[in-house]
Amino acid sequence: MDDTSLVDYNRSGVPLVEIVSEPDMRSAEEVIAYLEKLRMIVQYLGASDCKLQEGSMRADVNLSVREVGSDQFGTRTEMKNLNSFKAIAHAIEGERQRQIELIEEGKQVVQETRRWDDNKEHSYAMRSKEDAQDYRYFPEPDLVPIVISDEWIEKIKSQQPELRTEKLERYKEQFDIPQYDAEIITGSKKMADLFEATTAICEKPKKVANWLIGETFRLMKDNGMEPEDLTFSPENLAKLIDLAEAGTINSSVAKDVFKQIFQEDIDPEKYVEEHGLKMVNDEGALRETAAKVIADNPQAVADFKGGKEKAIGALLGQTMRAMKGESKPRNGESGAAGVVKIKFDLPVRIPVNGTDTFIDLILKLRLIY
Amino acid sequence: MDLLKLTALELGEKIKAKEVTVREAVDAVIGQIKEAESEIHSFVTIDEEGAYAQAEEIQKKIDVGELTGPLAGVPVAIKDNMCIEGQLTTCSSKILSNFKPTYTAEAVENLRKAGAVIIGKTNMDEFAMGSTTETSYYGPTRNPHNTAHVPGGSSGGSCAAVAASECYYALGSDTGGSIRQPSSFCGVVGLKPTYGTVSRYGLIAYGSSLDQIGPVAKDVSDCAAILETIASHDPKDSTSMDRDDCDFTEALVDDVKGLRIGIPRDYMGEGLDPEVNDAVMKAAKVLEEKGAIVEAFDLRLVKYAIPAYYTIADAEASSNLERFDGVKYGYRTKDYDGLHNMYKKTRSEGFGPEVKRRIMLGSFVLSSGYYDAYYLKALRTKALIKKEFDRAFRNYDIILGPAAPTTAPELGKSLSDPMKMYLGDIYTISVNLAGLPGMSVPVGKDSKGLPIGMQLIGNVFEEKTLIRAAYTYECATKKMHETPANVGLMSEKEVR
Repeated sequence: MDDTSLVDYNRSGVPLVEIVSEPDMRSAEEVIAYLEKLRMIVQYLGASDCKLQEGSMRADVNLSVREVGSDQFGTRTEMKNLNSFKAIAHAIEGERQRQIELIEEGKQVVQETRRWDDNKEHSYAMRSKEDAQDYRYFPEPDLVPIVISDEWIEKIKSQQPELRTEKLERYKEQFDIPQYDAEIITGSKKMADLFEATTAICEKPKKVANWLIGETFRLMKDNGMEPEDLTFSPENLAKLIDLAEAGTINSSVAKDVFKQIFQEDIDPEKYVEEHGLKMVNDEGALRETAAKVIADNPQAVADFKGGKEKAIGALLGQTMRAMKGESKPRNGESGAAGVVKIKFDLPVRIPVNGTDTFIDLILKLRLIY
Repeated sequence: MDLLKLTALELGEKIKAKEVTVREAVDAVIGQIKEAESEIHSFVTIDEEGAYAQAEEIQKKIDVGELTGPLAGVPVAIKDNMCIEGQLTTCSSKILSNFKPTYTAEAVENLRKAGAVIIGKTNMDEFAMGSTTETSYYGPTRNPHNTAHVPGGSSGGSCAAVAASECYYALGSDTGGSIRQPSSFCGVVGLKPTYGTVSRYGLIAYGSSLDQIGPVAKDVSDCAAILETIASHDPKDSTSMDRDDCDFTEALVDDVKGLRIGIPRDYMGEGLDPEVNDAVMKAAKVLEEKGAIVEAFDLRLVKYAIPAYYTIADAEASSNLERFDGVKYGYRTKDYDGLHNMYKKTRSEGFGPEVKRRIMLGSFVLSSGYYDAYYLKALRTKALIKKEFDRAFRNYDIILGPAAPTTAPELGKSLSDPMKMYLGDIYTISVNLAGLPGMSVPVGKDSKGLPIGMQLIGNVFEEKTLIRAAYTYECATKKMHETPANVGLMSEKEVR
């Protein structure tokens, strides 16, 4: 190896844009708001996915403190290694505190580069003052200054992709979804792309919005994920929505199936088929079974009519069992065991007179469960 | 027929007319190299085998009519700071003593396309830093007119090779006079084009904002034809310019009637050798007799050019030479203890004293606390010098003066006093600072038989004006000083 060098081409050819702000920000909240806005614009432009953890977006924070009323900025430090918004907020808070303490102790803030350790919630100087780098910067003579003309700016503007505000307005108009939904969905380019792609397939914008705002965000939060981390395909979400809307699966099953889609992007049609999660839509067969169960269990029926609400669980369970799993209300559990957990609130208050009404009730319970 | 006496264009003509084969042309220069090289040492690398291989290929292309240009089949030498794929490119430095580039410089590529036969790489001051070609790691080149004297620098090898007929023409590079001064010392024609005219892609950088590649030739016609061949717009060099006036041979016109020539008084005063002064003034007289209007004027700020130049060039050099660290290419020290020690030892062993001096100067003027006092001030001086030239070119088409204050000094007399050596660049460096074209044309010899060069400076993009004036001068004086070399020539040894 003596006469060779190993070269890491890891980032060669990857373009980098550096945006330097003026010292305009006064709090961690302002910094985060600025960065979130910046990230959204860059994502919408399609220039970068801006994943802080993966390094496709990074921020170095320069920070100084000054006494209230002073118009002179204090000595600043620069903090590096900030790879999440959370870390940035922590680092700002920590460094602010450190500088204030220094000054209050009558000490000086040293202009230096510091590294933030988010685990220890503490920053430390990257280089000591003695071997501080003198970069000897000067204008690069091999790169000529670029003059950006107004025409060019106009041209780029006209080719610019739809940004958030325009998208938000369009969603409200084109898809008739409420402001709240549109705000959440357009809050990230990835979410908006998922919404549009899914809606294009199933043509149910409100349903798509509900799945994204509800279950998707819930699962993201449980797993500590950002919208950019989502991997499921619009095709599978669209299929799931169609299955649920057609009544092929009930809403509870739909949520379980969605979890599978969210995790592994499975094909819901196949999955429902393979796991026997379809609801039986042959109402005749179902009514017949329910009638038989009622006839076979006079005691349970009497108990229920006498005010023992739980008694219906046994009836419902037997109905399901009799359907041999074809109508399992819950994946992986046998019918009876699953059904007894039902809390009956409203339906059982309905006066139950004839057997037909009773059958209706059982069917209804099955559906709403 | 003595092939060596021909100019590049004359040889090209004879090759095209089938009077001479490319192989015969290569035979001639290789023979001359074998004759003269032990005395002159113009080359770092002589590629005899490659030259014959190229000759064969080019001859075929000429025969089938694929190559028809005026330089097809003509042997050329390339200064050793221009990359040629797979060929040793040393910059005359130990640190690049084993460097074989993976690509070819654009200017060289342009010559290749025109059918040039590249016979070797010429010696130079290490990294083009020097005015005598004595700072080369491979030993000095000697002046073909008197081997006790230097050929000038930093393109000393290129100029000596042309003067000694070891090639028909050569490429040099000029950062502060490195084509014009050695051309003057060797009695050949050298031209530094307007900054941006010839691509710097593949030219190992010294001072990026000042470097320009240019031709070294036997006469003005060759010079124009070479420049026409190497000038091109190259997107690989962001400072390369897209010019549509590169038909430089169109300017080979024997006429300067009405041409306004200004001679700066500041160039003709203190420090100028009287013999140089006389020869240059005589040349100006020739042009005046041909119809030019010649007058003296004041070109101010001349004395500030040297400090400004050495500040800017060294600053850029200190940055450009950072890449030679033993990691990416070139020499690496044998024994070292860790990465930093490897850097330190590699650079300490790999660079010569003049290069180290300039890296240190450049690092100093850019260091925090000194940047404003030195580098920034130098940039402002540069801007003022440019303004001063702009003012002059409102009144004159050409500025005429000497290329150097003296003729070639003796070997070993310059390096001991770098300040004195730097002062020798006084007439050439302001041209680089202002990005202007400048040309050195032989105008006679001093009493020791050493050549004297006249420098013609034009406004930006005015190479044609320079070529026209130089050509007119040459036409009027052809008999006075022909092919210059008198050392080791196979046919004649007599001193004119």
